[in-house]
Amino acid sequence: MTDLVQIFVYGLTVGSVLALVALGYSLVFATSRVVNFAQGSMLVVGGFVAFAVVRAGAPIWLALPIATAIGALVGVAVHLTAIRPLGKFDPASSVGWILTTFSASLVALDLIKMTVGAEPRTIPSLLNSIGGWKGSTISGIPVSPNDLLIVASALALMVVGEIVQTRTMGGRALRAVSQDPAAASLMGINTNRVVMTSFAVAGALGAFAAVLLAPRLFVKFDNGLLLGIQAFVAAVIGGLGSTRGAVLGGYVLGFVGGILRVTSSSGGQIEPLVIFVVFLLVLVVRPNGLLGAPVIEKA
Amino acid sequence: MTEPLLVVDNLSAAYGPAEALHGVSLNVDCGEVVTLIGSNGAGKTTTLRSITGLLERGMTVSGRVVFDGRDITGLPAEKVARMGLIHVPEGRRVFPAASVEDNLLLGSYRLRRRENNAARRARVDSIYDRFPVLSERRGQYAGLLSGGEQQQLAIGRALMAEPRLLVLDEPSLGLAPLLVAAMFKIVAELAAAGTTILLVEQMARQALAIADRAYVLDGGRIVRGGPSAEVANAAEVKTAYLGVAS
Amino acid sequence: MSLPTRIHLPSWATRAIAPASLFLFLFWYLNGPGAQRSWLDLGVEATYLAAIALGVNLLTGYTGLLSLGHAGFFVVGGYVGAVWAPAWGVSPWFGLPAAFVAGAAMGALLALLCCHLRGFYLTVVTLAFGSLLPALVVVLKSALGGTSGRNVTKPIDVSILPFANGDSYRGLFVLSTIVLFATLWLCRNLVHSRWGRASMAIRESELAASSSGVETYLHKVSAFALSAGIVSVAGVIAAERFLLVSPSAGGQDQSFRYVIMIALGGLGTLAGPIIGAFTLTFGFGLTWVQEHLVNQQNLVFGLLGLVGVALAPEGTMGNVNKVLAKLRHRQRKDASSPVTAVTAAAYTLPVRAALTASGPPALELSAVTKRFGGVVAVNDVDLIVEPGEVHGLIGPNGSGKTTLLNMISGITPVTSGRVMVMGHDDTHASAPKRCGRGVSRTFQNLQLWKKMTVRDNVLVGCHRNLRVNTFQAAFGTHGAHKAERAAVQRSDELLALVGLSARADDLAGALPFAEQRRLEIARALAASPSLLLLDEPAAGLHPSDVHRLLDLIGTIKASGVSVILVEHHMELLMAVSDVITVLEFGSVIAEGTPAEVQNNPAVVAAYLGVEEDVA
Repeated sequence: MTDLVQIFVYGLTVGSVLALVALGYSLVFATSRVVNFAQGSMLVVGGFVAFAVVRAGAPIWLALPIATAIGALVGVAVHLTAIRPLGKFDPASSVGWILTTFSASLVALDLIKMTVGAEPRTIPSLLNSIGGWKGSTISGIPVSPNDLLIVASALALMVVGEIVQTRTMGGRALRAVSQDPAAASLMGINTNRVVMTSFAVAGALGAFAAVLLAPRLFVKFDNGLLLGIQAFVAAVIGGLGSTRGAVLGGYVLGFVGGILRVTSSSGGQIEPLVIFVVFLLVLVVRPNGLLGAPVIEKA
Repeated sequence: MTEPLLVVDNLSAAYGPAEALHGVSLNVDCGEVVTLIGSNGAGKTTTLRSITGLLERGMTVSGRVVFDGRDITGLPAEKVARMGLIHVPEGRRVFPAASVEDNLLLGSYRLRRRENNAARRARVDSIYDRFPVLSERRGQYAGLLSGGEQQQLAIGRALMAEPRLLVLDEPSLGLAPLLVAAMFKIVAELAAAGTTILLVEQMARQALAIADRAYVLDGGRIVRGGPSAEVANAAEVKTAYLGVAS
Repeated sequence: MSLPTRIHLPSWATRAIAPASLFLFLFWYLNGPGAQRSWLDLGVEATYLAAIALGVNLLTGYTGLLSLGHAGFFVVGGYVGAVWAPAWGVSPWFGLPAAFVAGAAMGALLALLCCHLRGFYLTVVTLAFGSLLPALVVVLKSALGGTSGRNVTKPIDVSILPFANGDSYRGLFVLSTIVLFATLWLCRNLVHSRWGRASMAIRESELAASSSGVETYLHKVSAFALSAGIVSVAGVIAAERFLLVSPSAGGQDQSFRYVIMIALGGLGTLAGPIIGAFTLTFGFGLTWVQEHLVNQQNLVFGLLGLVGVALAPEGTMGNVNKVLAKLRHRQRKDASSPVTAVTAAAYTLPVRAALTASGPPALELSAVTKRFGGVVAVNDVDLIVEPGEVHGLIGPNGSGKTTLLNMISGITPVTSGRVMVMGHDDTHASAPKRCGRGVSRTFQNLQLWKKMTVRDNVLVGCHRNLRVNTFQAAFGTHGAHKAERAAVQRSDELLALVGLSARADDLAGALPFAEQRRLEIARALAASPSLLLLDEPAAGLHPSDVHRLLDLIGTIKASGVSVILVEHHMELLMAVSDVITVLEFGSVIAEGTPAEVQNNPAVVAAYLGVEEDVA
């Protein structure tokens, strides 16, 4: 029972965060067929910016929107510096964009190091009590109001995202670009702007997730790499380019992490190994992920 | 006499080192149906792509294209579309994983700020009236429609943009003979309703039957132009298609 | 033939200039700046990084596969070569070959897992491989020594090396230099061999490579293995340098640095990786950089990556080579000489087996069908191509002609039906296998390797006939040279046949369109086909070039090769075809002589539309 609760708490909270970051990968891939290798660094940017804002004396409730906005700006900056200068290119056959997005990530991380510092930090929880409830333990496992907030806000964001995608003209334009950019431009849709928007939203999601998760896993550089890769694997498992797939993949990995931690004392440390194997299996058996569009052979 | 709606002057295009068009000139007047015919590989699609800015990677264009008095040479496709020059591309290119209704709504994207929901709704319904089969399938993914239905959807989507000039690239492509006839009937109805149309076709006879004027494209050059009835009897047509003058 | 008016060095001397100057530089360095310990240490780092860059370049630069996990092999090499091998009681010197073998084996294993993946999926697997190390450190704590790594207790006695003067630091520099030169020699041999050409062909167009007989999957595995082996050996030297193997050296940022070094120096060149590694290593060694930027190395590498890839996608050496090519081109123009075209009578095409009219058909398709999802692209097609026949294939757009060719050449698997080539059932044979059987092809939208020379394009076409394995190529054996010379001669003959002798040393991408079309035919002929598939060879050609093409097809036919000709240029098709098959909606609607087909009402309807509508 204890184990089960622990798996659920870990799986839901970490899974929510992974889902948000994975959504970022998927969104960018959908519009541009590019994997933003700088997406992991958005977590670091978000966390450290929030820390800096709090250190400057502002409340955490203000730090959240500021960090999210800066995450969006960094997303736009990555698009402008790493993707735009390459002109028209075929992401499937060229590798330049992998180098430039990776480069952008290194630059972003070092800029944070130079301005805020490299040491692991803590930032306060966004939510300490709900109507007087300050957390409790279920079967010996602590559950805090912040944990509820993580799950609730992630789910809310996903619902909003789904509504935007299906009910608004902007959302339709986004889906049009992801299905056929050339045909989308014939509708009068500015595809470049849609791609840039997807980078901005991805950056914002990453930064937002980092601030939410900080009370659980701290603010540190390792998170960027580790969660970044995990979220990417989540996006691939769900099917790159599929937003629902990204959410599913995020929770799958969250629960895998929870199970590993509960069943083995060194579970957290062998997690990358397990994820690597899962990842390879998915790529070998079903390269387009669980919910990705099946490959349609072309004549 | 006013300036033609579309003027194409000495248009050339190349894919890397391969020249596909060599100085094509043509024009389309308001309310007219003009057809551009030619065999496979004559450069018909390249001509349309060069006009509407739908360039492929490595494709270069020179010459001049004027639409409604404005020079649109080299403008990106979305800007051309926003001016009301609406291109229904070869192979239909509907958005396969969006519903029929979403495809139609995307057609009206260029008017999204000028038109309220009620007006848009009314126009979607008018498209359903014209193409009843789309109405039956409104909730389905466009990718699941048959070829003929997809072609109707592609035209319906273009009509949602209130085209000032409708450019159709081989609407008969890949359709079975019965559907080809139905497709030409639709185009003829649009023409009768006063839509200005530039129709690119491989099916020369049907295209000539509904067009006011025609151009014959062969090897990237216009080899013949004039009223449809004259062009229909010209020797160039059969030469261009079957390599024999009969 | 008049000779160009400039002094020609013997070719061995031209080839020796660059390595000799590299040697002189390193010799000077050892006795100049190297007198200072810190600079000597930097020299060791620069030389082994240069060897790494050369190795990774085989994979990333030449074969076009981007790995962001090769630093992992660097660590593997350290453990195997400097820690475990000496512990087994053998001389520490054996650590070097042991590291190569272990690295290559692991590289091959990783490649076997991921080389079927395309583009960035492969890169992502290598990235994940790199991030495995931290996990392995935990699992294999005793063997790997945890996060702090393992000490090297039995170092290689490098002080006995020449020029070391008994000093182990100088000795390490000498060893590192030797490894660099060995790597350079190996890479040079490989790059200028069948192996290197196949690599570049995969990089430029994997489709064309496999149609030309290159077993692309295995080739990619070999590129992975070689590069991983070289990086592993460098890992041994690094371990000897620090007397420590640390798993932290295997991170993605290290792997990324390897690639940035090559990218800045010039991907797919031999000098580029060395220039990149030296510039960046010595650059970071400068006092000013040490004082101001030592903590911002990632920032510097990141900015270099952003700016470098956008501004100079081909790196320093890429730009140098462009200038050199321009100069050479100008020289050739000055010394242009009339080309003696080989006429059909003077040259017989290399044809596979003697084809006789009584033998089996060159091709026999029975009830071949292809479905893409719900769409039937090719429906129940029967087709027989007799030996020595030119068989025309026509049909409106989208009627399935190219799909049919793809199924004949083995690029697209059939959904059902049977494909017999030269009497053998090849229904399930891969594209390279069918090339071996004698099926060659050209592509509708040219699939030349544009960044390779015209001659190299044809040489890859000879791939299957040129029997040189990777080891012979790497060590430049006598047999390899002999086979190479024969292949070059044959390629030059084929180039003469299609009238491209004067352009043999130009890049294929620089040719005018019509010449690119002819080059593709020459490449297809280089495989000594018995069945040649031409996919719209006249598309985009001027009338004069079409006549030339007509003559060429005549020559090919005269030599006994069967041809399937997909073409929209009716004049050409009607003039050269013995039989014509007409497709519509994936089905055969007519078959017969050109005259029969032209007057077939179904064909006229398919092409011009239905008669009665016009009236």
